[in-house]
Amino acid sequence: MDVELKNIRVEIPPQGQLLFELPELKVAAGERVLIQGPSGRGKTTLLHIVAGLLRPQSGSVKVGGQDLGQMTEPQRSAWRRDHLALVFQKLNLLPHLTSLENVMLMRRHGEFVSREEAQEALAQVKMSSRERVLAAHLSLGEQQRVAVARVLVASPQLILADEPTSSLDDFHTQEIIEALLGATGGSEGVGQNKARGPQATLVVVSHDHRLRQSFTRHLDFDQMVKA
Amino acid sequence: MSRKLSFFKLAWLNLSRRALPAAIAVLAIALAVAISGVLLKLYVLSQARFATLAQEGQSVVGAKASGLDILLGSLNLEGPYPDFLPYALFESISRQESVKFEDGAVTHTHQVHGVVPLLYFAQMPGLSGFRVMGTNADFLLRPGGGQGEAQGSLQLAQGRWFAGGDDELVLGSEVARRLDLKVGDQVSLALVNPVAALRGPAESGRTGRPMPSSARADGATAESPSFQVVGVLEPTVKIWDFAAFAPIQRGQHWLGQFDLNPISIWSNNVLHYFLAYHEPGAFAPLQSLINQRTVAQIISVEQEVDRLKELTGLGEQFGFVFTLLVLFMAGACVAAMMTTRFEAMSVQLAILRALGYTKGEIAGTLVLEGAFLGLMACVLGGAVDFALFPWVRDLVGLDFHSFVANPYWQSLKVWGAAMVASVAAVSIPVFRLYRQDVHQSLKGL
Repeated sequence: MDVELKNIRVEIPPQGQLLFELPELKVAAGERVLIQGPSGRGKTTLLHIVAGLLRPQSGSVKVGGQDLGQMTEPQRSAWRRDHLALVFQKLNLLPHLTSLENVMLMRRHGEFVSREEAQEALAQVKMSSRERVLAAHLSLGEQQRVAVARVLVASPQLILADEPTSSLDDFHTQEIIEALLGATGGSEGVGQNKARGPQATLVVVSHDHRLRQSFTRHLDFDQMVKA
Repeated sequence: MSRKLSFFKLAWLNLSRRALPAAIAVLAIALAVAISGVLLKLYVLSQARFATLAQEGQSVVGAKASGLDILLGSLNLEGPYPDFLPYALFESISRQESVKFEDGAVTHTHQVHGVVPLLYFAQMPGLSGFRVMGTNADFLLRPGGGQGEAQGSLQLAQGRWFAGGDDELVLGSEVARRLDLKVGDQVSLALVNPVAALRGPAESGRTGRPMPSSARADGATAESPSFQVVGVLEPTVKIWDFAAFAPIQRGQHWLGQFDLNPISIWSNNVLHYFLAYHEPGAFAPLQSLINQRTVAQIISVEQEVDRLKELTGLGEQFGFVFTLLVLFMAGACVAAMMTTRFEAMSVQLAILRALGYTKGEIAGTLVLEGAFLGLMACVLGGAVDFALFPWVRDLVGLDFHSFVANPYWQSLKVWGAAMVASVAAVSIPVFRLYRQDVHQSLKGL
């Protein structure tokens, strides 16, 4: 799924102070892009714009050929549900649900995924033994693996990750990045998605330099935007 | 168990995995449901208590007592066993000749169109508190209000009115229904011992409690006279449905079974009340003479009913308002809990939105949570309500005859209101959800 942003302008409410202007960003379908830059510049905001969680003050956002600006809020929710997966730096999970239940929250075409598919996804991230543990009792690394299992089970066409490794040590960083790359289609899919379509697009924003060698394209956020 | 998650299951998990706050909310609402249920039923009963009051006759004459005691004792068949009146007083007025008082004073009673005697002398067997009254044919016919026409006379559903001299009985409709009696059946009545009733402990407070019976002054057991049912009244939806009627002469006869010397200087030539039908202008002279010169007391039915309404109205309104207030508090309790939870869950709800859950789907889950809380509270509160109500009803003395003696169905209203309150309480977090800035919530991660 390709991503195309043009003439994006983002302001900080309520004063309307400019956060950044982005003349253009194009990501081809199946590409693995790492956007790097210091904290507080607007990387997360950019990711939320691509996810349809935030409307920029101006500019167009097209994902997979669809103009998110033309969609209603429920349409954007349905679009996220069917095409997109998001991974955050931490607190990806609902703490009162188990690992398995957190994965079972995912839906494809409106249907909740089955328990078996969720278990298979957890097995792929080596979390089978922790499937009945409440998310609140998991370590940060374990929570990130469950979040990646959620991506695996959803089998999205676009994966957006926001600082997925910033709180992890080298070992867990490598583990999470491998899992995310696997979720793009580099490895076997889960359940009904074993016969997957084209490779998913992966966009990761991070200031973590350990990730550079795993991506096909590196972008410097400060060079992309005018602040 | 289904192999997939559902919104139903998700709502249940959201509650059950946060058991303590959910349990506190359920307990609070359940308590409110129980209290409201009991209060509402007491409110309905207190209204029904006087719904059976038979507002008949312009005046009632009874032994010296408060106006309300005479009103409720004669026209709602409740209260303690009353003192006697001399039958001669009744006879004087009923003949429309004159009233001869103990001190020799005389007043003419040509403005009185009719009088109806009432004498309690027995209870129906197996139906504690269902009184058997001695009266006469005027009770059925209701003397007219000045023009001689009948004033809403009672109708017989079966049989006939009793003849004067025999042990015959006419039943109120509820008595016949509850004892499955019909014309031609024989009934053994439980005689009331008036000496024990008047001199004994105050155990005969209301019609729902038995009056002392059977034990005679000489130690022998009184007979249980057998009466034949000769008629059954049409339902009146008044207290008369809970009574039976016999000739007053037979009532006096059976009263003579007991040694009445300690309580009556007129032997068994007595009665308890009589209803007077007269011209409006006749009340004042009758009141002046009867109240001042005899052992009797006359009351105006209209005035006493108005006084009763004044006395009970405020309490009823207070009870109703209090019931609503308790229910409102229950709703506020759920609202507080759900709003607090929403504040704590705002990031989690934002994550759900990021996963593709629409606002409507999340709001639906919150509504389901409110419904679960309300349902559990209704079950628990309903059980407490049902267990407590009979005890509270007896405690406050509302164990009287009524067509709505056990208004348990009133609890349905409370349950419905609690469910509505529980679900409506979710409106605050739902409102916050619709105004939530997901981007800002997620930026906190």
